[in-house]
Amino acid sequence: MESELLQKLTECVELGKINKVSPFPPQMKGQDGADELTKQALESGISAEQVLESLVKGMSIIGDKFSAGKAYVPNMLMAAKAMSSGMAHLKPFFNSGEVKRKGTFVIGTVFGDLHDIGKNLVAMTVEGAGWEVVDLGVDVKPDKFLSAIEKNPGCVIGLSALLTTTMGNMEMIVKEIKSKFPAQEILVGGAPLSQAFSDKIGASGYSPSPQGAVALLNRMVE
Amino acid sequence: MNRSFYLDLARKGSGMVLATDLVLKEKANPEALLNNGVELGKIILESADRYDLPLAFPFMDLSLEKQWLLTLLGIEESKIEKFHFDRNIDESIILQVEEKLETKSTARVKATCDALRYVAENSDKLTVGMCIGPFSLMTKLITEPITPVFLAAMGEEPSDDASVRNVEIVLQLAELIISQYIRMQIAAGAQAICICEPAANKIYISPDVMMEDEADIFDRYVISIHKRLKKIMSAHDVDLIFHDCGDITPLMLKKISTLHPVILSLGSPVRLWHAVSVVPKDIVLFGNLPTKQFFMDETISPERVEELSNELLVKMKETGHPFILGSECDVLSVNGYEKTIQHKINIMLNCCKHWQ
Repeated sequence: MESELLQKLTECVELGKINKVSPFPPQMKGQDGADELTKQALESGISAEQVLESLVKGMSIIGDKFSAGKAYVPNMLMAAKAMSSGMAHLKPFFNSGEVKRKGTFVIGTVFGDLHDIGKNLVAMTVEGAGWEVVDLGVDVKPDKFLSAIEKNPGCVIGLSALLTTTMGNMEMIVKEIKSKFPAQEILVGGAPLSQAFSDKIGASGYSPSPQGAVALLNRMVE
Repeated sequence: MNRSFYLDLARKGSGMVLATDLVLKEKANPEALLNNGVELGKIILESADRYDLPLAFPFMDLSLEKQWLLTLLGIEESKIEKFHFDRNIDESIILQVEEKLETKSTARVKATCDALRYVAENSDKLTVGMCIGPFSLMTKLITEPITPVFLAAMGEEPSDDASVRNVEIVLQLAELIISQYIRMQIAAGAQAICICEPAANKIYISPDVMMEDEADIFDRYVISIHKRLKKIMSAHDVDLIFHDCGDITPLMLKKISTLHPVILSLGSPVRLWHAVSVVPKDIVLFGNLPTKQFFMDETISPERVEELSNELLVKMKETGHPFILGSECDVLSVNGYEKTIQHKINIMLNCCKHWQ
């Protein structure tokens, strides 16, 4: 019964079933979603850690499908929404320390750039992999990243840019961060970027995909 | 215009590049020039002359229509860039826009139209207008458009879901403003309009919910609106150049081809020699070197640009499909990398000359 419930929860995240009233996916219309099932699981005495594992597993399955080109951005978004609806019930357990995150990831699109799809996808995937995510939004200036580092000691910074014209701003932010926090880990990503550019500006890592970003982050805390 | 004009260009082996931004950014105070029609017109012509283009393309400013629309709705100028409709909206907003549409525009809209007028009156180049596509404009106006588009594709109706309703109302607003902008550019002398619809791609529209028929979400939210825009152009004998540099599927490409543009400009994710199987032979394919990557030699070296140019020229020649080698999008100036970009454009265009 317990494993069946957890398995169903994983499926809800993978397929993007948020709650009972959500119409997607059509084959699950009218059924409980991640919201109700998480609540039921916790009420039935399943540990918060096991519930989290099931949610993370669902995100991981859809993330792998996305990386393999077998799922698309909308599928990822629906899955992330289902994940969030479950995570909301886990908040008290995070606050009490009963369940621990892998670390904190602070992400933002660099100043001058208003694009957020890539950033959001990475944020959702990283959160779905068990990290706490602080999303600074778009058009983020260096001082905002600096103050986020001060507020979240030990965090990893993620910089996103979609435009070639704003990549220079990314370089500027990396320089500013490194001048105050030389050991700060910084990941970069975005359509026009490359490993060569990441190396050139002194970032700690580059990933062309959200799943790649998770892999880089997990390696940092291993 | 006659479709044969574009087919002749392809037959001659011409290369083409959309690089007005490169020329614009060489000037002192480029931002101010965007509001000066005559100066902007001169820059458009300078760019066309520099790259020996028979078509004069304006600057690809895809923020212009959003600015205009939100100005009409009374949104403060300082808030426009980041503005999204994040609350439920109703159809009365359409009336609000309709009432002011013909009498109120912005300095940028006026300057772009004045620039086209300058080009039309002072050169024998083909004057090309430019605008964003309605679907792409919608994505700039809704905080998170992907989910509602997905839900609409799965059969959710505007009456059932507020987010779907918002998308459909904003699409109507987008069509209104773009239709008017097209009319204004035609009145200013545009002989062709390049409609840029980069968001009509598989990020925003999931390929797994697309169907072959016309009830499809891509038809409903993209193609049907473009068919109405094309009617406006056709009524004035103005040609459609369709640009989509997004990552698209063959089915999307097939549906876009039904618009029957004179030129179809595609981004580097599409293999053009594969695209020919779904694009009719009287549509000139244009593109699609990864010019967005040109700024860094480490990412794409000059030798690689030459290799890619020649590969495209060879493979497209083998297909026999009319083709113009060029950029995948507007080539943007990147501070500090201007010469690198320029050098690679020259390499690309020189490859065309060798094949002529």
